[in-house]
Amino acid sequence: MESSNSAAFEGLLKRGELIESVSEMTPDYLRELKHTLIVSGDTELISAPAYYLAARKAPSVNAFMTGIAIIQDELAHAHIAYHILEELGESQEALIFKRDPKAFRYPYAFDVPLESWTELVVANAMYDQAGFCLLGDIHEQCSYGPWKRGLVKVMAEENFHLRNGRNWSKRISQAGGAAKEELQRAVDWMFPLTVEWFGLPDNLKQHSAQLDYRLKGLTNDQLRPQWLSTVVPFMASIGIQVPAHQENSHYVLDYPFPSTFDAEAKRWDFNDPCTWDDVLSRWRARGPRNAEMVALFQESFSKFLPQRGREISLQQRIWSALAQIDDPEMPINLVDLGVVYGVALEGRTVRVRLTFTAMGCPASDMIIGDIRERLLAEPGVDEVAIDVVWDPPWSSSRMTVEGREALRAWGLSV
Amino acid sequence: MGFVRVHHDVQEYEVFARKTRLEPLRQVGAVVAPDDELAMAYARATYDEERWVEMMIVPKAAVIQLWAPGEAEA
Ligand SMILES: [Fe+2]
Ligand SMILES: [Fe+2]
Repeated sequence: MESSNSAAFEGLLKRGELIESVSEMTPDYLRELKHTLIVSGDTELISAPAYYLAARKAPSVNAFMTGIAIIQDELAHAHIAYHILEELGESQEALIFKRDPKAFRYPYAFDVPLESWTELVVANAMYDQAGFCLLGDIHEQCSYGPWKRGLVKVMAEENFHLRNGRNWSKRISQAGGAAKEELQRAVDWMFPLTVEWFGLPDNLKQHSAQLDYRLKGLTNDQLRPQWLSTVVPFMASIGIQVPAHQENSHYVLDYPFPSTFDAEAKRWDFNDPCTWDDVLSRWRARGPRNAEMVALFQESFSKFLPQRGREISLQQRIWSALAQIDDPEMPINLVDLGVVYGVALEGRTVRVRLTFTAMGCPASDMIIGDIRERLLAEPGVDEVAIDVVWDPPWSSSRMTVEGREALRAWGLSV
Repeated sequence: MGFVRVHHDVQEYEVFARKTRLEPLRQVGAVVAPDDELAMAYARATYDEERWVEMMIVPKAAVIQLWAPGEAEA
């Protein structure tokens, strides 16, 4: 294969042809392509745990199965993007399982938990519609052959997702009463969050190389109205209000864009307009459930490693050992409880940074004793040092998903 | 292409399928798996967008390329 020839590359791009292999690309094109694929793969991947947590609230077995079918589709969509990245030289396992939760590049909306079946179907009607607009544009314009072909499947399935969202939204609205009120509340916080999904207005945005490289065809200010033109009339047709209306041929938002969002309360304050810098720093800080969502698929990977007979590090054995020690008062282990802040190895000494759920916890001596005894039983460990720390303070948000489940099953609301 | 995975010995398979007897097989995607059995399972689960009348997988290593895009046109 000949080395990349930028004149030949420009020629292919100008003629509207498809790029098929790395040898045909310039380094800049490769970088932009990877970036675009990572955003797409991350968004598809994170939608799986986000939808799963809500699908468990399905009102029937059939509805649950539809939810699971959608989640399976999303994982396949993520696979398509990550597999292409692998062919472009990235490690799929490193991208999925070894990145810090904050390093994932998906829309902020997925960091705000979907907590009911109603919120899930509104996500199908609005988030999947956003995905449909964005991916539809890529599918039409994309200059990279393997991705353009891979998106045929994705587009067909996104269409099914948003139709599922619309059918259910309509059904819930027709039911009226409290069900309809819940639907309206979901739309109230999710609609502006989806509008944000399309990013900064064009005049505030740096020129995107993605357009030059035909990795997409439409700008943010072209895609946003496309989404509004499908969602606003649909919501009107089922008697649900949205903060936007039609004026002549275009759609206008009825609130200052951007505005301030309280993620914990899932509430917008339209009387409190903010700047795009405020929004960007909210996005960068990520939302309340970022770590938990990413943990939902990353945790099982580390559990998978030891079973494969691979050389397990002492560090990993220490963590597994700590995960075998239950809190004396509740059926939850110390790792799932989130009280272990760190494990460090100094020769044959293990240093554990530990906190307790409350100061003066009566069980603290017992827990320390349990840790010492269990870790000393581990080959390679001669000494155990336990540093009890109070900063940062423990809160229930430090518990893992499994931990929460265990306590919920035990009857504690967390 | 070497893949670094939990399983060290994975390989890539191309997935081919067609919807009707009339149309030719086309490449619908790819999977990476440690053995044929798992690759078949992955292909079935990942590319389930149609009711295929035929589906098959081929280890990518078995594909002999005569020329790549760009090479024949030059
Ligand atoms: Fe998707
Ligand atoms: Fe979807």
